[in-house]
Amino acid sequence: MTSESQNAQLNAPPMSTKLAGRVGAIVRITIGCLWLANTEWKIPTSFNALKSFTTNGTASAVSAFGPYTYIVKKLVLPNFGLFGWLVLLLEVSLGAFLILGLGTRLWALIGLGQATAIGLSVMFQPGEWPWAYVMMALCHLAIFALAAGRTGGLDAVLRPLWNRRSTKVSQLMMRAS
Amino acid sequence: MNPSQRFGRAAGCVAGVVGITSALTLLNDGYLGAHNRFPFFLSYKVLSTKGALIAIAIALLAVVGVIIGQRLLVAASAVGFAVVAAIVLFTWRETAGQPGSNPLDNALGAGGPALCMFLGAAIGLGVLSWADHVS
Repeated sequence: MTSESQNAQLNAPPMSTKLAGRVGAIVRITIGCLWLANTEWKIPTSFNALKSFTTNGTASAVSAFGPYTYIVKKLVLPNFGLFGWLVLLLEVSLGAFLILGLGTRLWALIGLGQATAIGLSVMFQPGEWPWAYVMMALCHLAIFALAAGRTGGLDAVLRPLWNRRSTKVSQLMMRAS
Repeated sequence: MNPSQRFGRAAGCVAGVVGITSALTLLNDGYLGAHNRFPFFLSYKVLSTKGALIAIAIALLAVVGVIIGQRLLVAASAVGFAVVAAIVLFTWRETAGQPGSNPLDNALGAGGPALCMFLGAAIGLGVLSWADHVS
């Protein structure tokens, strides 16, 4: 055995593929529940609580990133009715798709974006723990890296079907899962 | 029946049972879970009694479809869940979310989590019945 292959063996991840899949499924479903549970307080049609958090996040003392705050002030707050509905629909979809494990890698990236946006809005507000938002974002990265819908998710059921079909949608779904 | 089909049917049964059990626990307009005991992180108001009864009826359709092997019933249940999700979205009243008002002021008394479950059930059951059809 060459020293290179010995090193590769020594440095191989300790988890088996099966265990990694199961851990990924647990993380995916738990994060899906996180989104599901947090749609509770985003209430149409006024979205008062969401608006309050978003507005507070634009104060200079708690702003995490200037350009993001500028966009929130100029684009989001003046159109909050539309923004509120978009957030609700996005988070409802994140919960549903991550729990189902359908198109998981795509939804993990969408979740990463949404977690980053939430973090930039609220991470430095009083009573918040900034690292929570870093962890939230990284959980989505882990779901993406583990392709966590391929164990205990609909991706596992559907990938063999998508693989057999040569349609564009099937090819897209293979990449998204 | 291949492993994918077996998995699909088992997942359908589990989803149906979970849906019905969740809805039954809420017939008294109570909360799923409680803030001070497990699973506190899933504590939320799900549905009004009327909404829960409708969810039970639609979920039963899927469970019966899985048991007797009628794909069309599962597909019908998926359509039913999609319809109730749309009803919730389009019947949220202007007063909802205002201080002192009923936050779940829509036709089924559903909050975001119930909407999420309806969407998940509609997509999940729909996709599983499609997979059963094409495989």
